[in-house]
Formats: sequence, C-alpha cells, structure tokens
Amino acid sequence: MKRTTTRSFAPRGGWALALLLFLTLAAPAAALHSVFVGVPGHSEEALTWCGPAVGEMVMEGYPSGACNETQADIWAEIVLNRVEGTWDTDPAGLRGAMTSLCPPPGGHWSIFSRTDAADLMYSVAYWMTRNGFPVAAVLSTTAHNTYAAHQEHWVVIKGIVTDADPTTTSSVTLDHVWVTDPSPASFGDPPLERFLSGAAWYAELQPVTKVGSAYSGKYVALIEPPERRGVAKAELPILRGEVLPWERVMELSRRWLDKLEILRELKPFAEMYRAEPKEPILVDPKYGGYYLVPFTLDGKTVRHAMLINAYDGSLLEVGAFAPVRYVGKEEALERAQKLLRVRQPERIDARLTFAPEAGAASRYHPVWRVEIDDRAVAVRQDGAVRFWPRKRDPIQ
Amino acid sequence: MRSPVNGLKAGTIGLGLFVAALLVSGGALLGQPSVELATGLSAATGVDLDETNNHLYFVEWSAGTLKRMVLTPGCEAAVPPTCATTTVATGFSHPQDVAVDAGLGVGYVTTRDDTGTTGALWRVDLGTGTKSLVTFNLEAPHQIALDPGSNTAYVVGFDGGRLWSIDLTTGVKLTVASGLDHPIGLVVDAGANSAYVTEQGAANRLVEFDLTTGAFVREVVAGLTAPFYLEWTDPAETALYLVERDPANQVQRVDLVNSTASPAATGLPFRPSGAVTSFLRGALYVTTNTKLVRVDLAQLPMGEPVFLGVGHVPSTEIDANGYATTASGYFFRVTHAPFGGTLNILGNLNNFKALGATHYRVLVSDGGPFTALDRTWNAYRWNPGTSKYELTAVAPLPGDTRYEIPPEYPSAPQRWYPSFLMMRWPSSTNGLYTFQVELWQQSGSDWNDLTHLLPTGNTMTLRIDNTPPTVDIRDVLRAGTNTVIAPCEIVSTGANLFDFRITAFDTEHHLLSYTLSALWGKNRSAVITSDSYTAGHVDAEGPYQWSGLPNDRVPPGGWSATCNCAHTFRLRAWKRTINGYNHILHRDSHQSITINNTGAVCP
Repeated sequence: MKRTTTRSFAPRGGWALALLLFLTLAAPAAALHSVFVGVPGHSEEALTWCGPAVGEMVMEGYPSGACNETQADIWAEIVLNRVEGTWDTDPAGLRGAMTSLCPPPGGHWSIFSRTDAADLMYSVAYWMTRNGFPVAAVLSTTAHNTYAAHQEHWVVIKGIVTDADPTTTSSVTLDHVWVTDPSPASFGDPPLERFLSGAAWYAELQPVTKVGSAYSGKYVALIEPPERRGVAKAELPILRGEVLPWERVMELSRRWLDKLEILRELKPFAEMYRAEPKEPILVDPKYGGYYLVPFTLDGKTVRHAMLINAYDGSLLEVGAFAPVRYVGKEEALERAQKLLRVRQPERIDARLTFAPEAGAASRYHPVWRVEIDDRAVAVRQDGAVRFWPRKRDPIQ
Repeated sequence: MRSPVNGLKAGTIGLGLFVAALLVSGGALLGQPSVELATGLSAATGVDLDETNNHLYFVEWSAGTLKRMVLTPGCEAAVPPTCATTTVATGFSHPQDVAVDAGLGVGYVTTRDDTGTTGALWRVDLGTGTKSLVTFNLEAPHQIALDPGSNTAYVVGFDGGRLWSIDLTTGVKLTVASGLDHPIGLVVDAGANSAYVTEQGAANRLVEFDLTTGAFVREVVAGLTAPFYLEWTDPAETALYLVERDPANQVQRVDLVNSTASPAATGLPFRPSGAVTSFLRGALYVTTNTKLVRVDLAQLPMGEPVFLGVGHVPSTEIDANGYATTASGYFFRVTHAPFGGTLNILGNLNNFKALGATHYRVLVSDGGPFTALDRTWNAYRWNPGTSKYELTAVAPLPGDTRYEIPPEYPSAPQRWYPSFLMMRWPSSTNGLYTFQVELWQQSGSDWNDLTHLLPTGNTMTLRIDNTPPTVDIRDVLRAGTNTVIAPCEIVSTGANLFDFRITAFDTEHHLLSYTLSALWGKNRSAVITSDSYTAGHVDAEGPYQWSGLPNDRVPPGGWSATCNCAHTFRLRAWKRTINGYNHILHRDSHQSITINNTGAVCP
C-alpha cells in the first residue's frame, strides 16, 4: 500500500477516528486513490429531517472551522432559504443554511446538478480530494421512512475510492463510496453507515423525480466549491442470473473483508474484523438479488453486514447500523399465521425482498413477504407484521 | 446543570363522599387533609388525566415507568383508598412528564437520558404500551402541553432553554422561544396564543411568552421556591396551579390577571412535582416523590366569582344568612341589610363564556327543591349602527329556561347597560332564598352541562323581607300627663310642653331608622327624636335584629314649640331592606295641632 498523503484533524465530539486520508490502496487490478473525511454520525431528529441531519454532519466535518449546529436551527434556516416548496429540504435551502450558519472558510457551497451520475461523482471525487469537505448528496426523491409524504433522501458522502487521483485526470473509475445515511431502519437509531461499491452506489443513486423541480432528471449534490467536469465510471451490477451457493458467498465475504483493509481504520467498520460472518441471507433471488452476510460478535445481534451480488459475487456494500436480530423464515411464517389466524393454510410461502413500500428500511433490513393462500403479509426485521400494501391505482 | 430529580396536571362528585374517607397525609392543605391514593412511588413526576375513561396516568422518574390508576368514587373513598394501578409501559430513561390524548388513545412522554441524545419525546399506545419515538435531542425536556387540534406538542428543554413546538407526526420541532432560564413547567392556552413557563433559574419565576411571535411578554411572578409543573385552575384560564418543590412542598394559585401568587395547597408530601385538575371529581391530583395525593377542590381558594352581586352590592358582601353589609367608604353603605323588591342579579357572564358555556340557567330554592327562573326584562344594548343604547328584551329560549349568553361577552360587556345583568328577580314572600347557576353548552341540538366547571362559589343566598314597618303617631299628649291633644285641637292654655306616643316598629326586626319631626310656619322644622341601626342597636335583639319602638313615649322631658303656629308632627321609619341600589321600605305617619301658648310670634 502506498500512502501518498495523510492529514488528520479532530472533529468536535465525534468518534475517535478523526482523519482525513489521502491515500492510495493496493488493489488487485490497480492502485486506488481514496479520500475519507472524519464526520460524526447523526440521525435525523424528525421524519422529514434527513436534510438537516446531513447539514449537521457536513458542518461538523469541515477540515477547519467546523461548527456544531442543531438540526432545529438548521431546519429553520432551510425553511428560510428554500426555493422549491415540494421539498422538505431542497438543495437551495440546505446550501443557504450551511452558508449562513457556518460558511466554509475561504470557500462556498455550490449546487451541482447533472444528468449524468458519473459526471456528478467525478466532481465529488475531485473536490473532496482537493478541499477535504464532506458532500451532501440527494440519493433519491422517493419515500425512505415511515412518513411517506417525505420524498427526498439526503446522505453524506464522507469517503470515496477511485482508481486514480481525480485531480490529475478527468476520467476515473469509482471503486467505493462511503456514505452516512441519517435515516436508519428505526427512527432514533444511530445512522446507517454504508461502504458501497461504485456499481452498487450508481444502482441506488437516482435523479430527482419531483414534478416541476428545476432539478428534475438530475443528480444533485452540494459540493465545496465550484463545478468541475469529468467522469467517475463504474460497472453496472449484474441484475439477474444463476444464484451463487451460499457457501461460496461465505467464502467471498471473508475475502472481500481482507481486501478492504482500509475498513479497519474506519471506526464504524473496524469491529467487523473481530466479528464472525453468519450464513448469508438471500434477498430477491430472481432480480437484483443479493446476499446479506451478517457479521456478529455474540452470535445473535448483528451490527454489521456485507451485501454481495447474488450472481457474480461482487461486493455491493458494507454497512454498520443499530443492532438487528434477523427474523428467520420459520418465525416469519409463524408471525404471519398469527396475524391472519390461519392454522392450516392450503398454500404458504415466504421470501425475503427489499421492498421499501412494505417497510424495508434499507437493503440491510429486507422484509419477509409471506403469502398464505391468497393473502400476503409483510414481516419486518423488527418483528412488526402487517398486511402487504396494495398497489395504488395510478389515478391516485 | 440538572433539574431536581423530580416533575403534575386535572370533577363534581358529592363532596361529602370523601369527607369520611380520608387517609390523611402528613401535611395539611390550608387546614384540610390530602388523601394518599398511592404510596411507595419511585419519584413520581408528571401526571395527566383521561376523564373519559377515568384513568389517571403518571410517570416515575427513577423507575422509568408510565403507570395508570383507575379512578372510581368507591376506590377513592375507601379507607385506605383502593384505586388499582397498573404499569402501561416501562424502560423509559428518566421520564419527566406525560400528556394524554384520550381521543387517540395515546400518551406522550418526555424522557431525559436516552443514550446518545439530550432527551426525547415518545408516543405510547395506551392500550398496548407500545412506544415509538417522536423526536429527540430536546435538551432535557420536561412538561408537555398538547394541542391535539394542530397535532402539536409544546415542550420546554431545561438544559437548552428552549420552548419547542413539535409536529407529532413528523417530529419536526421548531424553536418557539429561546434563552429561557432552565425552564421546567409549561402550559399553553386553548387558543395556542400564550405559553406560561416556570424557570428554575436565578429568578425562580413564572413567565409568559407569545406563542405566535416567540416574544417574551412578561414576568408573572418571581421569587418562587423550586417551581415545577403547571396546571390551569379551570377552563377560563385566568389562573394557574403552580407546584413548588421542597422545601415549600406546596401548590400555589397564580392569578394571571393580577400577577399574584397565593398558597392553595400547603403541607404536601415531600417533593411534589405535578398536578392535574378533575372537575368531574372535584379534585386536584398531585404527584410527589413517593406518593400520589388527592386534594379536594372545594377546599381550595375560589378563582373567579360566579355571582358578581346584587345591584351595587358585591356577592362577597352578602353573608351566608343573606344579609348585605358593605364597607365604610363605599358609596352604597349598608349594614345587615335584607333584600326586597325586584333584584338585579349580576353574573360573571365573561367567565361563563370562558368556561365554554353558551347558555346559563338561574335556579332558586326557598329551602325546597331548586327551580329554574323564567323571567323576561328589558335592558339597554349598544347599537353600533345608531351609536345609541337601545332597549332590548331579554328572555329565555322559547319553551326553555336557559338564557343565551349574549355575543358581546366577554369582549364587549360595555355594550350592555347594565352590564353582566344575569337575572331580574321579583322577590315576594319573606324568607331565605338560595340561588345557583347552571352552565350549558349548546352543540347542535345537544346540550352539554358544564355546571361542574364551577367547583366553588356557585351559590348566593339572599334574605328577603318585603314587609313594611308599622309607623304611627298614636297620641300627642300634654307632657307628663295622660291628657291627649286631639288632632287639629288648638292649644291655648297650659304648659308649652308635649309628649308623643309613637310606634316605629318592624315585626321582622329589620328596622333601619325612625325620625319624629315637627313642621310649622314656612319651611320651619325640628327633629323631636330619631334613632337608627347603629352601634347601640346592631344585633340588639339577636343577630341582625332591631325592631324599633312598639309603643313608646318620646322624647324624654317633652318637647316645646318655639312660636305660636299650626304644627304638624311627622313620623317616618325606614327598614334596612334594599333592592341592591336603595333602601326601599318606609312608612310615614303625621298629626297636626295648633300651638298658641308659647308667648312668641313666629317669624
């Protein structure tokens, strides 16, 4: 491993890992360039406050002149600066809030909106490398928690790994992205830490779909400072095919962990190296399938997991989250039968699926879809059981 | 800085129900005992009431529990009380307060020390005990004020000094006001216009904020002792119960109009925190460190009056026996005055409106059952169009005995003349009459009885006496003899010295005064004798009683005329009976003779 540059700083009140690393990782194919920014994690304090939570984290993650601002105060500024009323936190609102509450020393926040995600991510990589500020990004504009009316999903990009230094070339391959998602599976839990492959990131990163928005059809991020054009490419993930056996995935998970040695230095993930992987859980095997490999210290609760493509074994992402005890198939069947009060069904089956509409809070929290005769029930990983939501008539 | 470990909130069951059932606590409540409904609690703080289901909810700070007590008249009256308590939810990290939305069957709990946060607001399904987080990082939240209509909770944060407004669906919290000095207690008025907050800071005070602008309005009272939670005394929202912790261990009544505080319930068990009022039960429930106690509302000081008075006589200047006595210096000075004639009974129509009433009914009893009065009268009402007071009929609803409270109340009572006139009652038969008011709220075709919102002071007793005095100049006599001088007789001989045998007497013993005068010539007169209900006669024949002269010879030593002329002797006697504005009962008697033996000529 060749470390080209290393700087460190201490974020206030944050976790022990206070670092900003400019380094190059040894990798099988090519030397990697990475940037990681020390940003304390914060969860959203309201179901519509992923934007303020991201603003809080970003302002605490400045390389110098960082600020501690409450989400309530950030929200008040967002409302004052908001331009588009269809958002709870629109890009202008968040930019205005960060600018007025904690202007970046010697710089300023800019709204980057691109029709090409790779174009946007190049700018992210470039300016994170140059200035070391975390980035606020709109992951999607669909509902992402129990409050369906809230339909934008802000996250903080605080680490990025590319195949080359983006400040020296205008075309890089996006290898990994480290994001903090302030909207955890259960409201009030710690934020979700995700270390995603470039492919997994691009599969999830969505353009704005708000009707009438100036950003509609574009990928959006707040970056410090001006725009920079280029591309950060990544292979698209394979979405269907023959599913790998779980034993193979188990083996791959260990290999991927060894390969991602950098995670040892990132506090949210360091514990994984002391934990043991459990039997992988297959989610959505027919399309977009992935294995969820839980990592546990005590054999019961799971604080970390790795997501691996079910068809080619590629690493999708690594995550750290509030403790989960995954519900097994038998338990899911039992809970569903109890809800429906059916003792001897003619037909019963269950499969895991990533279905946000049924309460799947993240890919780490897929839901069981249990079909009993002609009815379907969703069993969440927190044990909650409810009828599977009906599809809405388009006219509604 | 942390607040003291501990943090309360709100019937008319027959008062006598509880009198015999007192498990007396260590202290006394202005001389009255409190009843311990629960003991052995683990730092009980916030409390709220679900009147619909008779459930009292409270949280225990140390145990981290939300508990429910089922209230029944029987369990409260038992010795010792036997009200069952169950745990609704556990696992709270130092809960501070609970507020109940009975309509939705949920409670909201503030907690102090959830890991990784500065305190949180939780929603609790009161049926299942299931908890869900509403929001967090509230900077040590304490008392909750719910506004279910706007789906909002207001909370104060002790450490951060903020007054928060919280959307109960999304958890979005807005800073309504900041810079408070360690706020603890909070109430919000029904219109969500004003918030009252106790501060355990340097001033230990109660302050008011404008909820719309967030602006500081005023300091209501200061110098309190460890002020804690707040509760409205009644729906009129003109006064608060304010809990003071140790060493005061009491509940103060704070008048928001006069900005004054006075002890309402003293000698409470150690470290009271919260209070809730139940008008249906006539009780104030108070949480203390280890106990939940019940205080009888009837024992607490009255807030607003129900009856303002009769005419010029304030209701509180009418004693329990129905007599009026006003203070020296008041323009209408009376002593031990019964009432008579037609009485203008003035009521607190403003407060009735504030309590939610749309109509009222006045009832009277002469010792028997109360019956509703059904009277019609005229009063003047201001017409903004003509800029004149115009005569307006006041009558009960057709076929009913309820009167609508005019829309001018409470904002413009001056538009009625006289203002606050609630009933004109023509008294008749002598006796003792007691009046009561019923409050009603019309909701479509339904009537809601709000009379229970008047826990104390809802009676006024009047002594009625419409019997006139007996007045007669029975005889004019030659002084010292039994020689009667007949009416119209000319006295030309003998001594110029006369006696008078008179009757100035009240069979009801309510005589105010009598005067015997002589009138002659042109505007010449002299008082021969007089007397009144003053020091020598007050209570002369028993409480309130002085009857006057039944048949007495006056004046001692006789009376002489000053010149020769025709003289008329007039006797006038007044009773103490008033109609609220004047004494109304008097009688006269007169007799004339010609005195022609004085030796002097009248000028």
